[in-house]
Amino acid sequence: MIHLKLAWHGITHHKKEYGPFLLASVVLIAINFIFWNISMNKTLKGMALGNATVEITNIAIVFISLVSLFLIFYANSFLIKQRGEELGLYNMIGLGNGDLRWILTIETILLYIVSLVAGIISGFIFLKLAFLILQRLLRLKVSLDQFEPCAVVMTIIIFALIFLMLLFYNFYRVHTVNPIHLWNQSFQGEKEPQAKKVLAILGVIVLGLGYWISVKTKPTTGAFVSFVFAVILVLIGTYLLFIVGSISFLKILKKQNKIYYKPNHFISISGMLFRMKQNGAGLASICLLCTSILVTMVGTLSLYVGENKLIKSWNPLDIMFTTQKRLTAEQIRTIDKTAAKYHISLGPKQHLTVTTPSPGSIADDKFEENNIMHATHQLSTLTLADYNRIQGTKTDLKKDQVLLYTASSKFNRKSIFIRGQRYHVKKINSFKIAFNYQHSVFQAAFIVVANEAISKKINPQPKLEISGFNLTGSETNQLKFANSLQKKMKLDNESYTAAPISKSLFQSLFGSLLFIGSLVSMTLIFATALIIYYKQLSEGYADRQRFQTMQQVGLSQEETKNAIRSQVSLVFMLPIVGAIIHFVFCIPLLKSILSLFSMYSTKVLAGVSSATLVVLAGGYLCIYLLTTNVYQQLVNKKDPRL
Amino acid sequence: MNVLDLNHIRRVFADDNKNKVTALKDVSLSVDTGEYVAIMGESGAGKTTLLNIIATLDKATSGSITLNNIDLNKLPEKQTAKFRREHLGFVFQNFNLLDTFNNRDNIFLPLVLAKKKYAEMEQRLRPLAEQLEITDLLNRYPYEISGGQKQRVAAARALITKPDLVLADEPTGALDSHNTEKLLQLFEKVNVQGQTILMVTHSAAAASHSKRTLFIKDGQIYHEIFKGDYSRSTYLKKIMTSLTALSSKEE
Repeated sequence: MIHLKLAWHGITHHKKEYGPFLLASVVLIAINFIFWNISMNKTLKGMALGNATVEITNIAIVFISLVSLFLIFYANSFLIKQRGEELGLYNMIGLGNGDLRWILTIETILLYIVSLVAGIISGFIFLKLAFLILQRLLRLKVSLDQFEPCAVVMTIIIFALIFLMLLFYNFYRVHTVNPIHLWNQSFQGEKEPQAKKVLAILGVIVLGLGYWISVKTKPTTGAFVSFVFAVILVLIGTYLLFIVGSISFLKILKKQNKIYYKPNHFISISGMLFRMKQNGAGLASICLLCTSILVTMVGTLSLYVGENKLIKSWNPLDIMFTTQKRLTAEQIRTIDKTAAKYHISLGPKQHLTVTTPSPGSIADDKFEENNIMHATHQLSTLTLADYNRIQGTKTDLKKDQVLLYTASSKFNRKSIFIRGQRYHVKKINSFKIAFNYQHSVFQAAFIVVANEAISKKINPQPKLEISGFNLTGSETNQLKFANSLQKKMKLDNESYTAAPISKSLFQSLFGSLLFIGSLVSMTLIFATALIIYYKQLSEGYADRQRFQTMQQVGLSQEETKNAIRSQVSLVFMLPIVGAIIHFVFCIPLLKSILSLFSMYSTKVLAGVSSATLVVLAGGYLCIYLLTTNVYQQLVNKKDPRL
Repeated sequence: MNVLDLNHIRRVFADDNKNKVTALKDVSLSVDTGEYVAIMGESGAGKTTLLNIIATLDKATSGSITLNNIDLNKLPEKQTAKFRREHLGFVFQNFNLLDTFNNRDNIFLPLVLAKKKYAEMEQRLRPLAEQLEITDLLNRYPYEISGGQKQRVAAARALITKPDLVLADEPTGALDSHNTEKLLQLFEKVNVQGQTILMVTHSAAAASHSKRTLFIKDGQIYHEIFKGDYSRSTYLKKIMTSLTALSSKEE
């Protein structure tokens, strides 16, 4: 009974610490619960494309569970620090280790039950909303709303495991820490951190390398490997710089008498020197969390927003055939018959002969063929006659002249050098059938030449026959038509592309990516907020004595406020500024990854990026302002001695 | 000339109307320039309240107080910090040095807050550090030095602003006898050089270094002894006698 009383006392008398811990576990449980429900949703499983959503959700569940584990342990480290003193005191008064373990166990069980009940109830409430949003994003007509009892069981099990690990960790802590030491801990002065210049420089180099890889990476098949490598480098670099680099930097500032001995700098530089030692890792984590939120949101949003552009690039014409031979009269009859069956009217049938694209890269004024690991473009040629017919133009070309079209047009030279020959280039900005062959990573590039002979010279690959037409009719019918046509004509995905099919694929793929991405980002934002809150709390405690002494010696309330503001804002602006810099350097890489989905639109990326940045910065500011309050309260709380 | 003048100071603490506690009933005292005054009294006698009112950390309920001809009751709240910085020096029982600064920066703190130039700060520090025998400690941190050394660093922080009045709150409370003696001699020395000091203490031995000792009880000044031409030991005896009288009266 006494144990229960003490455990209850521990929780109720440390609301500032336990409140956010509970909030965190409630939110995490709710999100986990929602994810499990999506993962087990029978409607989604029943649909061919719903499986993509389920797959993505399963990946997200693993990720979110790891985040939950990390966050709950992080919050716990603050709790155990505060509780340590109290437990140490109990121990001195005469409670044995067994008693302490009892108290901790009861405490953990209480926390677990409360957060589980609250978490699942709030999960329930938001489940409807989540399904509604997902349904909208996937543009589904059927309702997804259903509750899976198994999801509750899974959530209960996962969090039981996490809390059990927590309990054992706390047992270990209480067991290893000498209560007398625990009790005295807060009175001991801390050593000034050492500046480790070598590590700081290493941090700069590693981070720079990561940035360099990101900027230099071309959208090739190898881009993903570079991405992973760059991410690891930036990760290491960030931690090194925040933990070690910041201290070195502050030490340099401290050596400058003119800068250091100014009231505001004096207080904040000295304070931050000690702060960074304890908080460098935390700030680096905040920085990386913000970066991953940015990358996730921008990535998924770009795909979602750019969906129509992507469909256009895959399907300049609604239905497209890429075959070795021209469509036979028989095949055309099949098309017409199928169209009639599904009440679809067909646009004019277009036809075009091009050479099979060869992979390579356009650098300066040269096109060089290379293997697909390094290629950025795929180049095919067509004759002027075909071009004029498709475009309805009457362009003239001499033998050494070509027209050049690229999907993202950066080429601005007057001439191009291909296979030992130089051609004058007239750039064209639109080409009606600028399709992407095999929906590859490479950007499609087309060269229009005067005649067949030159075409062969530029690209000796075998011919490809491109034919296609547009569709009018209801959306459902279009999809049915497209699917049944592919079956009837026995065409594989390489030689047959249909806009309705791509559209429904993208809708479910990008829709679920966006949905999951947003939920994951929300969790990360929440994690960030929680870390910031605990940071402010611990700093408030740490700084209280410091500011009080300074006030006695002559620091006014006003100056205290200013000093706090400048120090706290500096500490908290660092991660978000770091995240923005990371993100800016990540953009080229992100572009490369997006182009794996044939997404080349810089405009979409720029728009989405700036919108996400504004939202994130705004949210961050709110969190910061809200939590700074806690800090100010702690620091300004009057010392009873005064 | 009087540095400090207190007239009929009264301080009442009241959470609500029921729980009134009168910490200071009626205190009048004045301190001359160059004086060294010790204030003695038992716990709860009102010493700390008195010190806080003089330090502008607290306000009197009634009565007038002037420091260097400035009426502290009329001092706006916002200017109290600046006032402390410019006119007062503090030495605390528990030193109150900041572990985030090395000793030099701890001493510089009030000057930095007053936006003094670095060269001037250095110039002021050098003779002071020599006198207090802390020159070798300046680059170390408070947590790396002993209590006696800490208190001398704290004294340097109090003296570097050349304050009108140094307020010492049980400055020897956390020191051993050797360091206590050393600090008190130091106080005497700076007092001889013209520094006005007001010290609150429990220790008769500490008080015997002052020029005048005031006894405070139940929120009033009860008695005072001047050192005058007495020898230190006679002065100490007189203080002890008064203390005994003070506590026996109660019974």
